[in-house]
Amino acid sequence: MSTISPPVTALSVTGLAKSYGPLEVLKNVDLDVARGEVVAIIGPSGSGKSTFIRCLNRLEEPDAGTVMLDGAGLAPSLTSKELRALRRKVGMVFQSFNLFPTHTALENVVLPQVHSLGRSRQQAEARARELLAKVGLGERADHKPAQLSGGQQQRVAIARALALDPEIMLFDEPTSAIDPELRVEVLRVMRDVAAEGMTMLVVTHEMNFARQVADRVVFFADGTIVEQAEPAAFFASPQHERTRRFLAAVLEEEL
Amino acid sequence: MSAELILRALGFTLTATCVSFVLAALLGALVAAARRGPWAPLRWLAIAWVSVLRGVPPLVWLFVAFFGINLGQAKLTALTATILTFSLVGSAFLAEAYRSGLDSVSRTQFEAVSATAMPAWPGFSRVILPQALPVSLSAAGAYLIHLLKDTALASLIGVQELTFITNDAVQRGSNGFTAFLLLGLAYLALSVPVALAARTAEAKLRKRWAVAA
Ligand SMILES: Nc1ncnc2c1ncn2[C@@H]1O[C@H](COP(=O)(O)OP(=O)(O)OP(=O)(O)O)[C@@H](O)[C@H]1O
Ligand SMILES: [Mg+2]
Repeated sequence: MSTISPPVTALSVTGLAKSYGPLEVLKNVDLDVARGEVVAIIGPSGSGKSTFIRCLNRLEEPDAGTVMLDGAGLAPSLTSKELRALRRKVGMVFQSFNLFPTHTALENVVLPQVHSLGRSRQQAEARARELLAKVGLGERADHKPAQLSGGQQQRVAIARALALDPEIMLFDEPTSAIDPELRVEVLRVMRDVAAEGMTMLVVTHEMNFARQVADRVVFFADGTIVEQAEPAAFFASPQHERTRRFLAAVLEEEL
Repeated sequence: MSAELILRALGFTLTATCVSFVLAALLGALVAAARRGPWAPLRWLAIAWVSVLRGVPPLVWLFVAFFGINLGQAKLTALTATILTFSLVGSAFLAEAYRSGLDSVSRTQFEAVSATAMPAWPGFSRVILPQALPVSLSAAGAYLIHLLKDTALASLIGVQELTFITNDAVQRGSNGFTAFLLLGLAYLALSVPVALAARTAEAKLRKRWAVAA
């Protein structure tokens, strides 16, 4: 982020809570994200990270709490029209890519533009080619997902999400299902997207990405935010015992 | 047996099969939609529909339709009763065929459609259906052959289809073994092309909507 003017809040979450039956997955989560900010969300498995970001584009419906986008509050329960409006603004990239398997890379990026934004096929195709080139897959436009590596599929998925010109991008462990040597390309694309000023929430196990690209690291445990800080401070001097234990385990694994 | 009689009988068999199948396919789609829909009472109704219709021999339904409904004011012809029966029974089987197709599509695909803000119909028709249809189609093709053979039951309520006229000829003194052997061959001659056509259609769909190449 290289802005001097005061940060504009892109997303403001207050008191978010969600349970599955007796299991409290999210407990009173508060988080404000400034426009253009990149937030890395880390934490142990089962701590509610996925549930949290899935509540932001309403793939899950929270039980309580408010989510404000660009200063406008979202109703607790949205009509399908409102849901679509929300999801045009908030793009999502999944751990397992979730490309449309019967369609080519190009078509994967074209379809949502045509059907969600009402762009003409021609416009959509031009934009899709531009985005595929940007993620380094200009040559692979006519390949089906099954013919692409995990890293390539994930880059198509990023292009597909970007094609709707979202204001915020959510990533749920975007590199976890990818061979280590193919992750760099995906991370490079994510860096580029961040550098262009996209507001991003990235659930990740990539500590280097968190350290180098994120503006802030948020640590989740047991359904709440235990601690958050800018990366340098976060990694250098974690305040909570829970955070220290997590970092010790993760960083040890990385060595 | 005159050629005319045989052709007419073939016509009955094919009419009962094809008309019932088309109606069953349409009605089955509604049942499958209800089954997966958001409204619980409709879901239960769809489950009951499928269980009840499949849980009773088609012959019993045929008798219910023919003798049962004939008692009232509106009289069903034997052919109408046959078509009614197999449309309803078929809708249960085809609803299950659609359901198996939809169940074969990963939940994450439905999420991807939602997350990309696609409206319900294009999301369904462009993303979900191409993945579900090949699976549904092989189940539906199997049911079509099943249905073709089941229409023989209509002979029991007097529809003069292939089995009826064969049985009739045997009652009048034709050689039973030869006659029923020929009948069997006639059903084979019908069902084998249906099986081939279903397989070709499925292969075409799989190619058109291939996940690779
Ligand atoms: N649909 C669901 N029904 C019931 N329980 C669920 C459901 N989704 C998630 N959970 C539970 O909620 C808790 C939090 O899950 P969540 O996926 O948000 O964790 P996470 O932090 O993303 O974990 P991971 O790092 O493994 O992805 C887990 O205990 C999980 O089993
Ligand atoms: Mg998760």
